[in-house]
Amino acid sequence: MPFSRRLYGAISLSLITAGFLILALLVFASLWFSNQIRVHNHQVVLNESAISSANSALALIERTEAARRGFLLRQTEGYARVVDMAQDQIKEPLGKLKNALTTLGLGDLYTTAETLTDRRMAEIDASIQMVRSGDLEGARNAFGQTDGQADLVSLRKTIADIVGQEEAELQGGLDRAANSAQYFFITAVLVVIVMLALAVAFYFLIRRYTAELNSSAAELERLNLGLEDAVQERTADLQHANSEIQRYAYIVSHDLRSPLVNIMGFTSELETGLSDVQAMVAKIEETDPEVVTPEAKVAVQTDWPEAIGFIRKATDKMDRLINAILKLSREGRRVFTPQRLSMTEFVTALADATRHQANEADAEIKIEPLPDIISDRVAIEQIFSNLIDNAVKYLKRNEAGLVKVSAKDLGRNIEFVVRDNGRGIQANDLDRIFDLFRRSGVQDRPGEGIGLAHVRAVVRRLGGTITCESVLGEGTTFRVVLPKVLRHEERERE
Amino acid sequence: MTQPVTIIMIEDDEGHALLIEKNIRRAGIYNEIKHFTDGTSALNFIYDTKDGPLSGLPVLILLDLNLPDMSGTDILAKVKNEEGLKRTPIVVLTTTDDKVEIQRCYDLGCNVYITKPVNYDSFATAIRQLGLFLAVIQVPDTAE
Repeated sequence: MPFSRRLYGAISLSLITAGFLILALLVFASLWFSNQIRVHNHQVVLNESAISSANSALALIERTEAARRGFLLRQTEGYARVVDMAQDQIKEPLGKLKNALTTLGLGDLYTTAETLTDRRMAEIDASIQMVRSGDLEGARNAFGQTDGQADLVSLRKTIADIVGQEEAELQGGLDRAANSAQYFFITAVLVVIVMLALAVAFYFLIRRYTAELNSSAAELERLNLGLEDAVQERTADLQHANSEIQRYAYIVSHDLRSPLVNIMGFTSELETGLSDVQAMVAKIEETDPEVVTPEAKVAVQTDWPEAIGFIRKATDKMDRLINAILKLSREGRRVFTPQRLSMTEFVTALADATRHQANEADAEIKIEPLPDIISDRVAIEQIFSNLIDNAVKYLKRNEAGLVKVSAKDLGRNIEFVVRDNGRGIQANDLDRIFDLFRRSGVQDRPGEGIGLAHVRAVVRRLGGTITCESVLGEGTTFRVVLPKVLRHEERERE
Repeated sequence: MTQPVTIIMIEDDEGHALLIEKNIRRAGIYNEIKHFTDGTSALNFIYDTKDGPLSGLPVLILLDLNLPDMSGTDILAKVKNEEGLKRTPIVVLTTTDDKVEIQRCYDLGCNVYITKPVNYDSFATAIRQLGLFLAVIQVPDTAE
């Protein structure tokens, strides 16, 4: 089953959307994982800082203890200075430890450690001051009698606690960071696999679609070729039929002419003879009135001339009709020579030709700006002079006439509109008016009923159409749609 | 001594033939007019008559193009291609006023082409003028 363009669109759109969603997921995951890793790293730094500062604080306290003992034994000022300096030095590791432990949520542990440290440092300081003030004995007594030893032991335990806990946490943090990295890697690999799968799917989709496009293009081309052949065949048939009809019309009209020559010729002969007879009858009437019967007189003077008159009228009309058919069939065989026509000026000139009748009918002919076309000059002249002439000819007598010619661009074609406010055409006559020898409405104007038949034939030959709208008593509008450029095929006909 | 010219009228319509003859006579031409209503009998006369056109009888041919048995142009071509007849004046007198047809006749060697006007006055005038033309025309001596 061929795959519809719509289905292709839906599938490719969903593939692309899936690709984008997965990419977005990857970006989100990488952000999340990197944040995780950052958090873990921060914790690890804090853990390390807590461990190292706890260790250095303990080392400093142990050193201070040792210096105190040394001072009690030897009163060397160097030991006392160590203790003095330690009072300051202890602040740095304690500060770091406080910072790390409060951040890690072990503030209680820190408070314990700080209290114990402060107490130890205060006692040591007190004992140093006692020695300096000369009370060596008091200081020595104080050493060992206070709860100092117990404090030191619990301080060591607290520090060991801190270090132990932090080391465990450090290990956990490192593990978690490693896990995060691993998860991230797995996610990335999965994303890459899915993307590859999508790409492959997309590739096959496009391949299949392209193949189908190619085959349908080939099919289309085949159909097109067939169509062109069919059109050419039809056109040839039509042209053939058309030229057949034209030949037929031509031959018929010629063959009709031949007897007409006889009818008219011998009618003339009769007329010539008749005048002799009339002269003779007149002469006999003078010399021998009884010989001339009234019937003979009427026949010679009234009936025969009348009969001859009717024969002449009929043959004259027949002659005009035959000439019209001849003209139409000849027109159908005329070869068009397309040229650029500036329609505004051209139609104005055609309208000027009917200016005299227009003035007589108190009518105005208004030509709006018209676009140029490339067409056959004679054909266009025949179309517009007939339409304008008709419009002027069938205006209402009791009203100022207005004939308007305008145009509308239809892309490849132009619609020319000839509108009048004349007497209009009955709705059931609208088709008839384009037929040869058919006329509509009151027959008070000369004409054979040829103009519009001719116009329609010419318009069709130019590859256009003509339509008529009319309201009886209000006016008529003729719309002529003509190609902007007379097509090549039309030029080459015959 | 010149022999009077015989007018050969090839015209299938008897009426036309009569009208043509009448008007030629009215123009004052009293030469013998031989009338044929089809191409075959006309060609028979031209080719097979003893002392006929081929044997030196000076003729002028009035030719209609629409004949029942052949096209007038065939007769025109045939006569104009015949060594002994090619200088014979041929007047084509027909209803056709198609330009292509007229050109074709002149190409084939017709001397005058006249369209029969349907209007009788014009027709009569045309034939009378043809008569005047015939009165002054010099027909070559075909028998050398």
